[in-house]
Amino acid sequence: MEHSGQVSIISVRFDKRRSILTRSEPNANSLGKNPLASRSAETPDIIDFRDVGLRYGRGPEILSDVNLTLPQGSFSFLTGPSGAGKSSLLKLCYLALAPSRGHISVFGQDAALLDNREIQAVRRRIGVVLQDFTLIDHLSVFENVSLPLRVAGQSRGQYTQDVTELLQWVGLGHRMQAFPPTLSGGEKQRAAIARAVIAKPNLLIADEPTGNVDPEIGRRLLRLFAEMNRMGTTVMIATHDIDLIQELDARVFRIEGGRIFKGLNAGSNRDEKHL
Amino acid sequence: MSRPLPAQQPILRPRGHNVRTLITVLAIMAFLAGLALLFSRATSRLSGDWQDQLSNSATVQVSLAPLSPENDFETQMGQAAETIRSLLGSQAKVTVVNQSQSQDLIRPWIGNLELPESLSLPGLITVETPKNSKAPNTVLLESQLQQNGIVASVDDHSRWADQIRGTARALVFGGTALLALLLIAGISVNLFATRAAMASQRSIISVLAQVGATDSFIAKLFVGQAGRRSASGAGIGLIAAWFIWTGLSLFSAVPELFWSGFGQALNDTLWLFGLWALFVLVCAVAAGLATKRSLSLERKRA
Repeated sequence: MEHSGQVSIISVRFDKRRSILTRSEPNANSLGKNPLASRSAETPDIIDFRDVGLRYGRGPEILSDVNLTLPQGSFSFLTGPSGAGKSSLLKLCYLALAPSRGHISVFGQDAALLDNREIQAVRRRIGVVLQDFTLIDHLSVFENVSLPLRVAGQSRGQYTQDVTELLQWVGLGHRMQAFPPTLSGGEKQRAAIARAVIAKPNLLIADEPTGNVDPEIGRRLLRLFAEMNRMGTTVMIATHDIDLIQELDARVFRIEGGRIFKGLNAGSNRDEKHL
Repeated sequence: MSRPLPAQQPILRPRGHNVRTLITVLAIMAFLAGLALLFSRATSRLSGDWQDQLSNSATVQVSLAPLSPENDFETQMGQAAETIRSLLGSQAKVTVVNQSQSQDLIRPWIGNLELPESLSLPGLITVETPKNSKAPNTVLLESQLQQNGIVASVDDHSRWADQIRGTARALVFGGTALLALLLIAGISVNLFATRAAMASQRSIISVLAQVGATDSFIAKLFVGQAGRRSASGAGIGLIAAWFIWTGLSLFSAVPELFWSGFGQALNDTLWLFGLWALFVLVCAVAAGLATKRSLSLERKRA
């Protein structure tokens, strides 16, 4: 039952899952003071980049003068040619990289002022889906998905029901005890997404989430992201897939030559603007 | 009705390729450390026993007057012994070493030669006081004997006891130093193993960091792994050391060095247990520190 007609099951069960997916409010006090917070003290942007530049080692800047804001509850696509810096920009968003210059504010906190413990606390509020899934091969699907909760200190008794329900909801109820090497690309992708959303993140970042799946699964996953966004999660997806972008009326950012532009391309009906 | 989920799986890969080899190395180190500890304890115990015996005994060497039928060896020695008894009280055990025993004492130096009757040998008297009583005061005893007309020198064995104490201290220090070196080697092996494990599980660490795991959380995983590894290795090594020592206690030609009773065996077994706990603790702490340091360096490099 669970592994047939997954699209409809996901749609039908989504409201039922609301209790699991409803975000808990962030505790801003736990993350220290932010000198940039005065700009929007009441509802700070989830992500705020100001004149950000990034270079690896002594190499050339691969991102230059990036100014970007992701308001709370927004849905954005990030596109651009291969090697343009999409993945690097996403890594800056979830603080896996530090910028070479400029300021990054995440959840109203200046990233430069966060110590390691605070960075990890920020990361627990961000769900990340990477192109290569990054599932742990020797852990079952259940264990992979429950990892963020385990890391957050929850006991097995506390999270078992939530993880089980979420896996059933994404159509992996029958594969809970399977190991990643035995999963198909689509199943791995859904497991990775389930892991990204299980801790009810405020921000969901996905890097080419449909890159390894067929178009039908890709559309299905997109609807899942849209539903999460409808419930308040800020979503940012990096993708090459123009068809996917055109399915939703969402903000689009394009990276070219290390600079970020608003709009799909010069010929689109959106405003072309170097941000 | 859904099936119950299996037990929680360990986040780190449960067994690397080299775990068995590593446990063998740790077991050998713990075995040697266990023997070093038991040897130190036995040396210390034996030295204590000998010093106890020596501290409550003295040897009185009496310079005999020329022997005559009226004033022969037994007469002179009997008078000296009686004087000593009267000075030290009835609790002291005073034993006269007879002439043939005195001759036996110098046999190691002169061999089996027949000694002439005229050769003057000093008379020897051994004095033992009860274990918890005061040791004989040599100066006082000598002067009191002299007041009674007996020329004698009293040896309380203190020089010999000092030599034994010094030798025992050196042996215990050597054993402890060996123990410390083996612990340091165990720590080094664990540091190396932890770094190797971190390198081979880099992808897992990066997933953990991605989902918000703190350095302490990651370090705890490696601490647990090192702790289990050390507990196994040290357990095997120390149990082997215990069996070897038990065998030596039962069958050795020098049984006084080994366990002579249940009390000693139990005491040393508790020390071995303490060494096991120490071994596990230092290895786990070393792994934790190595993990945190590596993560910190990794972050700086990034």
